[in-house]
Parts: sequence; structure tokens; C-alpha cells
Amino acid sequence: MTLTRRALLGQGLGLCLLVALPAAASPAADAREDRPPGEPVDEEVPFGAWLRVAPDGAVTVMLAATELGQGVMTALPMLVAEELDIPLDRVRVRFAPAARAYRFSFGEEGPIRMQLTGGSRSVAQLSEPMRRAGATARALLVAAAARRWGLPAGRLHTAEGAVHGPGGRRLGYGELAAEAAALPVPRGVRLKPPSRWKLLGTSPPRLDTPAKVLGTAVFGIDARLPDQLAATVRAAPSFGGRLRALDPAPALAVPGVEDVVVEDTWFAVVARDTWTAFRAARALRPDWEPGPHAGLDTKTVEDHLAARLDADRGFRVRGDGDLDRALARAARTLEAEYRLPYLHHATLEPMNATALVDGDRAEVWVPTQNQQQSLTALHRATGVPRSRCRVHTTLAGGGFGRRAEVDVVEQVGRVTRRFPGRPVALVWTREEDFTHGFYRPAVTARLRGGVDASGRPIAYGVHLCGTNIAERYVPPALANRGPFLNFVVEGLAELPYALGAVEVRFTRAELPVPVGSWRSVGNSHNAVFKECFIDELLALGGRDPVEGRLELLRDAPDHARVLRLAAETAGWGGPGGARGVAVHASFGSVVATVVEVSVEDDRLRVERITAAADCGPVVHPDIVRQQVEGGSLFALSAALHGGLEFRDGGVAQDNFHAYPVLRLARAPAVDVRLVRGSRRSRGGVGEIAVPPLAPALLNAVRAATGRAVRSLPLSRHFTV
Amino acid sequence: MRLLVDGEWRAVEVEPERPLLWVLRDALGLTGTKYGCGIGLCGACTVLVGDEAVRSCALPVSAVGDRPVTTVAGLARDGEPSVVQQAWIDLEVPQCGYCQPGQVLAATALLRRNPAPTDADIDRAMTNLCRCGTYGRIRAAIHLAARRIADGARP
Ligand code: FES
Ligand code: FES
Repeated sequence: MTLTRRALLGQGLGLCLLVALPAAASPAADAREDRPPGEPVDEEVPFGAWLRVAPDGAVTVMLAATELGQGVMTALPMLVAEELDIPLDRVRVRFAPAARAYRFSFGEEGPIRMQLTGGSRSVAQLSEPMRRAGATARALLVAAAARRWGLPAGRLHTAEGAVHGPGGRRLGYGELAAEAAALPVPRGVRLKPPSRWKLLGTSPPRLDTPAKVLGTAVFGIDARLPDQLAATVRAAPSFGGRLRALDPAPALAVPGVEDVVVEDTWFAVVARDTWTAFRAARALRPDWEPGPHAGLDTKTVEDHLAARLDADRGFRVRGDGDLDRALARAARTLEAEYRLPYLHHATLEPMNATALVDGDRAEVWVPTQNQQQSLTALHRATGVPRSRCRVHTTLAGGGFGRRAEVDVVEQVGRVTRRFPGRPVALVWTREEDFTHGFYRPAVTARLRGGVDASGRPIAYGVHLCGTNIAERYVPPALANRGPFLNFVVEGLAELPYALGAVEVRFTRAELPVPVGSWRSVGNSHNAVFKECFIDELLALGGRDPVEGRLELLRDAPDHARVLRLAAETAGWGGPGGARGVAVHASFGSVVATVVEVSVEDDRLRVERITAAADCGPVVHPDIVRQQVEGGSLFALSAALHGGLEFRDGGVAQDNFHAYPVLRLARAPAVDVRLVRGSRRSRGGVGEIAVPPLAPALLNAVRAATGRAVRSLPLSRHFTV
Repeated sequence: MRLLVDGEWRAVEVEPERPLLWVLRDALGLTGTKYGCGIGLCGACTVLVGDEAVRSCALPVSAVGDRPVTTVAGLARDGEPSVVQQAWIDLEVPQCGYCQPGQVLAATALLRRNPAPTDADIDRAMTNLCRCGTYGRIRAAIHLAARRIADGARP
């Protein structure tokens, strides 16, 4: 079921995937690629694509993944430092340029490699290459020292960034780097066994923390180049709209405005600084042609999904047993419809990119999750050959999937090519950011289920309708059968419960709202359909939500383990408020979440969240805790408040007053537990806490009120 | 016009109605102060004017007068992080980090006014948005800084 899914993000066409090649690991292989893997600076000696060693012994690790807050800037260097026997504070990091050498694997999904931070795969998939790079460099440094001293390598050891030999001999890595890098690369270096790990599994200070607290961290919006111009854009407010006419005079009359750039569906104001560009753009009265979807509003969307479910039986994605027979045999049955809205990412740093086109070269500085497609977008927008395009990744003020899209690179390229030799910093207003997203699709699901005479669930059927984001990458006929369906059915198709009959059906929605990956993708809606309805069935059968699940999880021991851990930690069954639970596997990890709420009249308060996670062997436990804390609150924000509304064919909310997000005063404590002695292999971390939160919350609301709330956000049902 | 920013008088040539945020970021190059929403809703642009936390996107520069402006770059003393910044570092508060300059300044203003805030005080004062969900650590870091202030540190 999992063939290509997230691998397709950012590719224009799925077919391009076939030309992806394994990553290069040696300087020779790098040289064959279409571009260098980042020019070493100063006197740094490169060791393959991943490492450079400076004369003073500092080691620079090249990061193929973007730091979005999820901690790769610390976790990836830790993997190198462990094998290289160097203290973490001697390691520097640099974001890798867009280059073939830095494409990395989608794991079980075969030979596909992309330079794209997504699918919660960076640490899981890069751990092997990073450790191997560290171990290889270490072997070379030891070999160089052995030659200098005329001793067998076996009598030497490494510690604290130096090679040590008998009689107190010591050579720092910096002193050996040039000689070491010239030696033949050994094959099959051995990696340290976990029993010898000193760093992995501990929580050293994050390398990015001080700069982020002191305010010196450079995000995309902070890129500053000599003589740079500023720009902002306005794109058609309705889906499929175009710019019919624009009189640029009011903007050009604003002092400091350089130009107004008009494109087919958007325009840009270029000025000497951002605020001037913002102000001048506001002065314009563009004549937008609304396009074919001008009538679309919130109700159109809901009605469409319901009508499609009425009209279509759906493509059967999974079928175990005969659902109709099982329902006919059931002692009691239940039907329910769940409706989930479109969601925006609302990264706190608005979309932005800074570019320079100079002669025959183009460069972009951008907080992107997608270096690979950023390069393509820059090339297409500027006409500069790919080999002369450069992508510089900056820190990103949140990503959540939004920065896998390269629309802003395309725009900045189109604008900047008109100003040869002058950098242009394009910054979107918050209003543009809200109304021109790639949203989590709205999905409606109809569920049918039943329990036997003893109260055990024996039938579970779900029919969902929404836009499959795979349609962004492949034609609908290909997207909506087979492996591409995974984008929309992931998490449901792998229902872990031992139920007699299970059926999952999917019907395609035909809606013009742009969609994209939103932290945890299909799992973000499917965990609700899966975990709320199983909870309703357990209640129908008079079963406890935890005990009842454990009964059904006999073939899923890792699920059972996190479920027990979360329930125990949360004091399940003990005194306190009403609790709800959910357990969900995604990205190779399993998380169980318990939410405790209180409801008084129509006031809903979330009192406490407990989450237990099994992610396999953990590189940095505190970063995992951060991601589970933060992911839970990100999901809570969406469940309480998140829901796009549409008017006149476009998004109706344009800032945080209309699309509120969670604030500190309403953020409950999140108690995180990590399973000890995991039996799993290394799983993802950045998205895994999101899926179980909303269903656990809805289940808690049902426990508190006796009433199943089956649509989000909860702000439409309660004062939150 | 002259502005006292991070302890230094700076001359700027800007329109009086230009929001302080854009004067700091574009005229003075102080990019630690962030743009998030532009209309006073998110707090990413928070600075201190005097000892008060102010959303600089919604404050015309001409309204600052000669009150001192403190950005995140002006909190350190003798190159050492402030007590609030140190608490933030010790508890590993940031994730993406984009909201954190504003959070640190909002917390600094709170602790200068109220060196021993309760949870309810923190709830009321800390209204800046964090999309990464670092709120639990922000609360813990404010309590940690408050303990250090009780032990003699200066907020
Ligand atoms: S940018 Fe000033 S409050 Fe959001
Ligand atoms: S740390 Fe990312 S927005 Fe707060």
C-alpha cells in the first residue's frame, strides 16, 4: 500500500521518480553529479558529501534535511559525532545545497530518493548514511595517523576529536584531515554497536537553541543581501481566478516603489523595503476575473462531499470478510457520519524567498522543505540552466508540510529575473498566506459497525470522501486506485484491530480547493474515523475504551504497550475529569494519547494530555518529547479552532482573528512517556503525535457529555 | 528622527506612520524582531518600550518618542544571556524558534512587573502565538526565571 506516497510530493510527475539514483557517498561520485555538493569554505577538507574537517579540527556536517523545529540540526550531527568520537560542541552544521548527493530514501518504499523534508523520515532514513560518513572519516583519520607514526592502525584509538597512540601520542583530526582525505576510502567500515554508544540516546543541548533565544537565528525572512529590493504579491482571491487588469499608478506613486510586476494570476509590488511594498500593494485595485468557481462557499463543500457519498459506492481499498453479512448477524449496529474541515498550516513565519539572478546564474535563499523542487522552480521561473541554479536553505519558522510547496520560489524567480544583479526579498503578507495555502483536505466519512451478543465489535465499515492529494502529482485515474490512494486512506487501510469484517471505501471529491500535505497527512483525518468509531462501538457493546481496545489489539502488541502506558500514566479509570483515549500508528511509530476534559454548560476545557510513544531506538529523547508535546498542541489547536471557510470561491479567513489558533492560557500540560526496551526499528517523530489527539479529545467529550460530537472544530459546538 | 534602541541612539529617515517593526527590521537591520501577522494578533513582533511589552507592528514609530526600545538583541548583559533567555536555553523551549524572541520579551515584561507570577498571571500575560506548541516549556521557563530572580538575578 505504501509504494510511492510522500515520495511524490514536490515532483511534477510521478514518472520523474524513475530517474532518481542512489545518493553519492564519495567525492568522485559527487563530481559526476550535475552540481557540486556545496563548496567547502576556507581550508575545510571534504570527506565525501556529508562531512568537512577544518584545520582546527572542527567538523562540519552537511544537513540534507531542513530544520523546522523538529531537531534535525542536532540529531543528524549526533549520529556523525557518535561514530567519529568527537564532542557534539565541536560539530558545526550547514544546510546542504540542492544536489543529487543529498537526496535520501523513503525507506521501505524502494529506490526513490528526494531532497525533501517530509514523511517524518529525516533521522530514520539518514541515520545510516550519517553514521557511515562518521565511521568512514574516522577510519581514514586513523589510517593517516598510523602512517605518520609507522604503527598498525589496530594500536590506535580515537576520542575527543583526536587519534591517540601508545606513549601518549596524539594527533587532532584537523592535523590529519588533508592526508586522511587523500587515502583510499575503506569499504565496509563497521558501525559502533549500540552497547558502545555514548551520545546516541542522550539529550545534549540542541545546537540551534542559543541562536533562537538570543535572536541571532537567521530565518528566510531575515535573509539580507547587499542592495536588496523587497517585494510582496497578491494572487487571485478565488480558485482559478485571473488578473484581468491592473492600473499600477497608485503603487508607483508611493515613494520607494520600483515596479509593479504583472503575471497571469498574480502581481507583485517591488519596493526598497517590505513595508513600502505592503503599503503600495494595498493601494492597488486589481480587476480580478473570478474564474469558474466563484460561487463556492463553505456549504458548497459540505454538500458536495455528502452528495458524492450518496451517489457513489466508492473504490474498495480494503475488505476483510463480508461486512453486510457481519452487520446482519450483529446483535446491535451503529451508523455515523463524521465531517472534518479543510485546515491551514499557518506557519508563524509567512511564506517568503529571496533570490538573485546575475548574468547566467540564479540563487535563492528560502526556508524550504523541498530543496529539490525549489531548484526546478528557480530554473523554470528564471530560465537559468539548472546547473547554474543554487538553493540556499535557511531556518524555517515552522513548516508542517506547507514548505514542501515551492510556489513562492516560482514567484520570486519571476520577479527577480527583471532586476538583473539585484536581490529581491519576497515576503507574503499574513493575509496572502492564509488565503493561498495548500490545505489539508476536508473529508467526510460514513461509518457502519456492529457488536455481537457479548458486546464485542465484529464489523467495521468506513466510506470516505475527500480530495486525494495524490492528484497533485499524477492524473486522477492513476491517483485514485492502487498505491497512490495511500495519501487519503493511510491509517485506515492498516486498521490494527482484530474485527471480523472490515471494509474501507473511498470516493473522490471534485473540489477546486488547493490541497497539500498537512502534518501527518491522511492520518490526520483517518485517526478520527478509526478511533472515534471504534470507541462508539465499544460503548455500544458496554466495553471500556482501554480494555476493549486491548482485547482487539491481540495481533498488535506495540499498540497495546503504548496504550497501557498512556492509560496507566493518565490514571485511567481513576478520579479526575472525563477521559478519552486513542492509539494510532504512523510513520513507523505508535502513539497513544489520553485527553482529560471538563464540560460545564457549553464550556469545554481540556485539562490534561498524556501521550505515550514507541518510536524504536531514539537518538535524542528530549527532542522526541518536544515533538510529542508540540505535535499534541498543534493538533489540539486544529481540533478546537481549525476549519477553513469559503466565500465567493476563495478562502474567507485572512488572519488569526478569523482563524484562531491555540494560545498558552488554553494549552494544557502534556505528559510524554517513551516506551522502554522498544522492539521496533527506528520510526519517525515529527508528525506522530498529531493523529491520536483529535479522536482522544472527541472521545473525552463523549465521555463527559454522553453525546458523540462528530464534526470539527469543537468551537462550532462549545465555547472553547 | 532619533530612536533609543538597545541602549544606542539611532538616527532613522522614515515616515512617521511606519510601524516600529519595519523600522527595526529594515532601517536598523534588527531582524530578531519578527513579522507574523501585522495587525497585533500574534506577538512575533513584541519589543519592550520602556518596560512594557508592545506589538511593534501596530505602533507607529512616531509614537515611540524618546522611550527606550529593547529588542531581543538588547537583552544580553555583558554578552551573557538575560535570566529569561538563560531559563529558555536551560529548558530547551524553542522548536522552530520563530515566535521565541517575542515570547522572551513578553516574559521579560511580565517578570519586571511581577517577579513571582502565578500560572494565572502567566495565562493573562503570555498571549503570543506559538504554532510549534512550546507553551508548556514557556510556562516552566518563566517559573524557573522567577526562582532565579528570587535568588537575586535581575530580570
Ligand atoms: S506581527 Fe505584530 S502582532 Fe503579529
Ligand atoms: S517555536 Fe515555532 S512558533 Fe513558537
